[in-house]
Amino acid sequence: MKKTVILETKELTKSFPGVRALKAVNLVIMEGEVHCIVGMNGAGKSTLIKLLMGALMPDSGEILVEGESVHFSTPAQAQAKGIACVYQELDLIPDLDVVENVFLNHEKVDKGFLLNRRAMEQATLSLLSSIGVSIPLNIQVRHLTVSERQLVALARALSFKPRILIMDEPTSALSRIEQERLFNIVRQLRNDKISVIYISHRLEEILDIGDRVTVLRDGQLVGTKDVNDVTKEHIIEMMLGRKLENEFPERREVVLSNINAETVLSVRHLSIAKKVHDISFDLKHGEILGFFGMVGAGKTEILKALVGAIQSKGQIVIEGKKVQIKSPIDALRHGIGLIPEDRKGEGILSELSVMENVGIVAYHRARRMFLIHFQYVEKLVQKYVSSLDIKTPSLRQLMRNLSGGNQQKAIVARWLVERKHILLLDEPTRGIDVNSKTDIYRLIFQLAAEGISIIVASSELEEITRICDRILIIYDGHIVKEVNVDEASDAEILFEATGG
Amino acid sequence: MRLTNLILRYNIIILLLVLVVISAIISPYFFTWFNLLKLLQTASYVAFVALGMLFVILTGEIDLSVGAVFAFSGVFLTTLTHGNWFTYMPEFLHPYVPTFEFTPVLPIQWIILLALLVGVLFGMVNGVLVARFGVASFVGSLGVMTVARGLALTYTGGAPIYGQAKLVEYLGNGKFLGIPMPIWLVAITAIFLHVFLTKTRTGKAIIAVGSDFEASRLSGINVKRIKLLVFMLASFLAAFSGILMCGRLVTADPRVASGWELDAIAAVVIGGARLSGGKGSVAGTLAGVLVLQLINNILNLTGVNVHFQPIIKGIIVIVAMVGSRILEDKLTESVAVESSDMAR
Repeated sequence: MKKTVILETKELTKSFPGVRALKAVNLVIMEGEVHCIVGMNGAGKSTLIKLLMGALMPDSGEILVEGESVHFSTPAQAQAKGIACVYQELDLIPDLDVVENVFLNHEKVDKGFLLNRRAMEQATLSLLSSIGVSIPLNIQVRHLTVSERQLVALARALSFKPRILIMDEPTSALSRIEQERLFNIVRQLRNDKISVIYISHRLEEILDIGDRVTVLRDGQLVGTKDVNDVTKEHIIEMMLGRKLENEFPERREVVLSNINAETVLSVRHLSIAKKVHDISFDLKHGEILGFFGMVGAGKTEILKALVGAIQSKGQIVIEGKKVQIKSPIDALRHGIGLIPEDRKGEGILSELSVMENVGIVAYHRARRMFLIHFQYVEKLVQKYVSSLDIKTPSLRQLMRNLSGGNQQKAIVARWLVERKHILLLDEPTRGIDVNSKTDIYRLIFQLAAEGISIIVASSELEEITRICDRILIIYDGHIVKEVNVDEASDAEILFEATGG
Repeated sequence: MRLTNLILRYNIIILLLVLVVISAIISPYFFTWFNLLKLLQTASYVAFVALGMLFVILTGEIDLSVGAVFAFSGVFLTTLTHGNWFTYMPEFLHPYVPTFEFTPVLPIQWIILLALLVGVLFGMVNGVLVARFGVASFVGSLGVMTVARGLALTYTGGAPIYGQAKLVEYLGNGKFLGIPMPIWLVAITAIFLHVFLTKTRTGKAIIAVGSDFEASRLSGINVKRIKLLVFMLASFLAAFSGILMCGRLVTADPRVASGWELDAIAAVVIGGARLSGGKGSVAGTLAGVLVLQLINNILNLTGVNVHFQPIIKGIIVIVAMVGSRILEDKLTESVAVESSDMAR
């Protein structure tokens, strides 16, 4: 049987301000194959999908469907060409019900314009039963669990009767049994000559159901291999790449005395509705503790709960004293600072100066009469700007003009100004170039050496293993395992973080 | 548990009933055919504006220009009816006589159509500002509102214009089968819009865009077109209502309907819509309009000082909104519990 090429990209390139997200990618998808794409976070997988789906337009290069060059400017055009996608962030509308979501924008109508609800219900029912699930049809998607949503999104993609189905981390929210069912569906699709582009972090899965695997790293296509020709270790090696190693500063010696150091923060039975279930852990003086897990595992929620930004149940003990943290103000008072994941949205005040960004938490003690004593703030800020080596022409520079790495340092400085002794960093190097990354890592080491206790949450495995002393692996809102950094291999950690 | 759920779900209807009961107790004339029709007719002009606002709010936007567009379309219509394209001859040059014969520039049907078209144009400006240039709708429509109101005042030199064509008077104040025309028209429009919202692809797309913009875009919905469409619809309905109001008052007043955008927003939100989009209904909006109208009615019936009325009205609206906010949280919880029970 001769295989034909169904989808091809030629020198596909896409840049965002400051980043080359995809560099000259040549991808070939055959008819009826399960083609897996793997890569670390930021390798360009999401950008590639969005280009294939017409949600983004390439800067240069072209996409060929069955040898014909296509230019998608909207997802509707890609859908018309028989490409459908199950997005990781799930493109479902919370206010519409299951049926409406499955048929959104390709509804069945009769008499020219009135929706044919009955026909859509029946079609949805048969789609859902072909996946092997039963979900009430008339319920708003906002009330469904994440795994139910995942399955509805899959039903939606299948409703387009696609020739090419893209699945972005389809199993991240599924249970074992549901995963097995999903694999059967994928195999069924392959038998029906439908090509599946399967994106996953879980290498076991890829070896299980994939035909070929393509590895992306830093926006470049590292290689495409037949699954039978590669091992898991081989893929991991391709994903990590050799040249990345020197990105990390010399590992600090894990201070053995840490083991006996006093516990600074002790969390017991922390739960957040639907997201995090009964988590307990200790953080010691001067320790760098890592939270590793995939996107959506609950890391961000735990950190936010610790600073009172979202509601949680459980007990938090700081330096032996039981404390109530109901809002970020409480956290401030108890010396906990959060450097959030979404730097632009939740971290920086982009239209204010560097001085205001760093000094803002210190205003309350820099008062003279009822006014802010700016000379005092300036001196304070200047000290940290120099010691953290934040590159800015002046303290009056607007925050938005700084590079991502310097913005991140400024936010770290914000909490240092307020003499924090517990710092929580959520994805501290997201969207930051390699050089600044190294700076941030050095900074983390330096702070820990000065006796600040640090939690780093990240979905980048290398980052976690290189800078943390101890790692808590988080999966689906649970701590599934605690490992000391020297004791576990990357593969093992990845294995645990993807549900064992 | 059942009962509280019912109360939660139909809180607007319950609020309406309470207001009706209060009205009936206060005034023996409330339940007369005459009073009820009058009440409904008065409510119908705002109802059009609120129905248009509903669609804008469903997409998560807001349109502050509807009151001004309402006024301008009426002024424009009347100017054309009186024989001028651009400006109205001031009263002292062209005194109004009851037997005054119009010299319309076009047949009256065409003038009505043209006035509607001009209204839709304002909506297009709003829509283009929001969808094409990414201006916040609050600001964009605020600008359009100022321009439209200014145009209305300029056209008339600030004074009302008296006299309307028979057709306009009939639409705005005439009766069909004993029921005033505006009530018929609102009823027809509401039924049409309800079907449009719940039973057509575009209706679902409108809810989708307001519920999750990015997900809608990824689903292949032409999100910009949807936003443009809702602003055009809102302006169209405002312009139409403005024409009806001209017929009712036999006058085009450039100052008419000032502040109606806020009444419309209040009605939509009291009617259970979410300001950030994705949730709201035609029936709820009509109920919201009636709630506001009944409050007005009660205040009038009890002889509350006209200047004092806005204070009470404002407080009632605030209380209703806070109440519905709390109720919605409760309702979401109970539905969530129900659905997870269903799944099991």
